[in-house]
Amino acid sequence: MKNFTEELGINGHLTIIKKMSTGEEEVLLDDSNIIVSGMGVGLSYLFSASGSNSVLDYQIQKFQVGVSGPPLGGVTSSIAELSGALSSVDEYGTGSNLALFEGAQIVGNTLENGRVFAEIPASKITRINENSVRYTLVVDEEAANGLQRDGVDKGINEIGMFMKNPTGNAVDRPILVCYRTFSDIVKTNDFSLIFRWTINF
Amino acid sequence: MRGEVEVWSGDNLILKEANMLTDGAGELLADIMTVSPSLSGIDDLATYSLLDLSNYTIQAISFGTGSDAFRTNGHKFVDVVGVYDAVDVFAGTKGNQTVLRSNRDDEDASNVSQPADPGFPIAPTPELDVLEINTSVDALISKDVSATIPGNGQLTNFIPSAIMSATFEGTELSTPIRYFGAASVLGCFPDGASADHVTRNQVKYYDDAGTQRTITSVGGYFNEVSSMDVSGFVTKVAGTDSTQGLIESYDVNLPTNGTIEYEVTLSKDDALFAHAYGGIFHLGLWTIDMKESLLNGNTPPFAFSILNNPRKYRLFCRKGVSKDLTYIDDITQYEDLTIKWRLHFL
Repeated sequence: MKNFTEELGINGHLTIIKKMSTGEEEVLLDDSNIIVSGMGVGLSYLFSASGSNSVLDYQIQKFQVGVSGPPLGGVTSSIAELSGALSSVDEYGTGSNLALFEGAQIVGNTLENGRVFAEIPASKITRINENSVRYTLVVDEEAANGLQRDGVDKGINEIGMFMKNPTGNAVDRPILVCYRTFSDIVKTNDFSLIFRWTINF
Repeated sequence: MRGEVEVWSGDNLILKEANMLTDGAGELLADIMTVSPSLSGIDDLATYSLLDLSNYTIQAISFGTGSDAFRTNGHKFVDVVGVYDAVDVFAGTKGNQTVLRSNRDDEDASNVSQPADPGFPIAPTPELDVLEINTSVDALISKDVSATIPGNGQLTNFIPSAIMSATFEGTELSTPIRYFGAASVLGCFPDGASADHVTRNQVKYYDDAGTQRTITSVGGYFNEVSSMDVSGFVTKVAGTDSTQGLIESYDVNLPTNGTIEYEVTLSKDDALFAHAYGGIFHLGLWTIDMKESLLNGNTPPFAFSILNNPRKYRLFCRKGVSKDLTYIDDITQYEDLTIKWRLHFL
């Protein structure tokens, strides 16, 4: 049985652009992504009015990048979290322009505290037609460099976007709504990454 | 499935099928995702009310029939057989009488099938933003009724006296002799049980022997509690009584089952009258169309009103059927008609 988001045809398309400090650009990925079950959870709260009473809390307003994609079980709509999301302000880069938020993430029926998210500025959220919204996520030159796990250099290979706070908690509790893995990108301060993500509702 | 619709006549399940989401649903979600957060910082009720969730959720249900039905059945003006008794109304002896007849084009008294065939309703498509197209009535009551009240794609609600008199005020149909007739052909739901003239809401039909009979309404649910506006939208109401309007429910497992149920109940007379006006071949769930509501000069919060409703609606999902949901072999045996509409978000 298809769920609401599948039947409605909500889908996404992600383009990853590597932008060198010289201005040169290279497209690293141009492909679809998956909408995960968190979208349905968030919309359930919305249409039942059982979560937040402000429409702003149902917006896709945060993102994470990670270094451990794809998940062990494969990329499915049941994914609720990144496999290896960056876990600290330091990893996102203290010198970057990213606005960061640290708090609890809704993961299935549990809350995972201490998760770090990058905010998506309203100016980077664009309505491109009646049914589509484009999110432009910029991991700038100073962000996410020198990533390591267990002393081993790691590349960014997964990304997810989050609905802001569907349960209406006093402090945001984001939930993962769309996800994508890709080949390792070892980030350095020679370039920025631009994730141009279009969601078709 | 996107959602499923159940229709119950009394205790009998007469329909259980999947519904169709419209393009309006996608547009609504795109609207939600792009509302400006800066609105929250403006200390003005009308401005920050734009962020209220009720503007973005299901708020109404409506009912539609085939296009042809809007030019026949109760929608057809037949002065001489009781659809509208001009003399009595003009004399002021029948108050807000709106006498109806499930009249047949062929006027074949031996044919007891009611109502006349409404033709094929339009095939539901996601692109449509109304339930049916080409729904203006074709009636001349000194003036062309459709010039004042063009069709809006669904069964409307002009019969209650408070609605008809206010709606036609200042129009070419403003005299009682005209607006009683106009309301009669526009239809489609009877007065509430407590209305002074509810017993004058009648449907006439032919029995097996070809004798004309009359069913007198004891009252509709929607107009008893003013939950249906003149355009035929039944508003969402609080509580658990689906005879009061469209109610919403979900259980404690909502975060894991993602299921929300909407329910509304038509009284047996609501069902009879809908039948007399061509039946129910379309159902629609509607959210508020924020843009249209604002463009019409309204400011939020948009409070529901049966007249001049500031809420303009956007079709979110629809259900079309090939057989009239109000069809019944013996139209004297109607029972309440309950519609349960479940949306599955997970």
